[in-house]
Amino acid sequence: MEPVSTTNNNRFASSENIIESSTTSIYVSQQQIDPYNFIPKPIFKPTTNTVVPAQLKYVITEFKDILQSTPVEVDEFEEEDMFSIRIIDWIEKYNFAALDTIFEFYASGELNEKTISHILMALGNANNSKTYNKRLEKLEEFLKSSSPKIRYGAIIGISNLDDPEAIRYLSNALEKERIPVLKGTLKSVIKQLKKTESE
Amino acid sequence: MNYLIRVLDGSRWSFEYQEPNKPFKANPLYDLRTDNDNLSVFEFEEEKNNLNEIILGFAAKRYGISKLQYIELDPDELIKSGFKIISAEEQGNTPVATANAAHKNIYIESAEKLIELAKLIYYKTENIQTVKGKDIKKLINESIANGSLDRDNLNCVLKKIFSIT
Repeated sequence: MEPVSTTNNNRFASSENIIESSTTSIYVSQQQIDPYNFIPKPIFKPTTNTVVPAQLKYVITEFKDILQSTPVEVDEFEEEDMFSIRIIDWIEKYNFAALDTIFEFYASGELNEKTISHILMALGNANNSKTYNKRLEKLEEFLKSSSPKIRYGAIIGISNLDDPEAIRYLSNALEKERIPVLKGTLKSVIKQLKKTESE
Repeated sequence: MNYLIRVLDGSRWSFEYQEPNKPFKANPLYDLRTDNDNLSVFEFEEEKNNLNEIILGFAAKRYGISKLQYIELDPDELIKSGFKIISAEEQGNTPVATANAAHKNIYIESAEKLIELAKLIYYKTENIQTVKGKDIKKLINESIANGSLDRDNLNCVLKKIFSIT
């Protein structure tokens, strides 16, 4: 394990890669830095104070900027598209770190129904094979949300993924669904996926 | 059979189950904005088979590519429910001439009548149709290529998306 220094040529091994706590500096093994995921993996995580790797701050900062500067509250298709475009770009840039950020924000109550619904729709359009399985898994999970609006976002997200593997989850959701527009959208998307399957 | 097409955003109609005699939510009414007490719809005519032109018309006037959802309303059912369907004085304002020719209006005489229509539509959304964004993009591309959509009539955002200078 090497101490990280600013003189190191590895672009991830800068002084910013040091995960700091109030009591000690933590050395990051260069072997544990995954250049594809961009986030250095800590070998020791202090139990006191908030630990936020420096690069993760960029992921969060960009996400907050998207949320603040591209309002989802405006009910116009053009706003929805701009929001989706920015979210997709951000996910494609930060991969799993972006997905984790989204779901942590949601779990902590920082995303309202409408925002998470739009994000779920965008998840299906991200062109990122690394995160594909996780995106599909999360969309299927949100099909069971107690919020109709969030379920709607998950259905559209699955439609955008266009993966026939999701047919059985949509069919299960359809059996339990009571709200007309969600039933209709489920039927429509199941039909779409069956067509994809047959092509 | 002919029917009337109205585009909706399914998200606005996604709320807790609407009991028939309970007050109706306000949010979905955004999808039923009237102009001069008229609600704009487009008539699908079976013999003309003009559904694609109508969808193209809607898609081509938006400022982006995203999924499109619409419902089909039975004009006879609307008339039986006390609504009037009238020929539009003005043609539709989409970039697709054949879609514009299919423009009709549902006369909405009062806010209460609009809510009545919204309730009717609410239960009909079980048959909502969804066209996904990739299919919309493909439809527009094909229409530009075969000349059925005049690229000069597109707005600046779509021109950029389809690399039209």
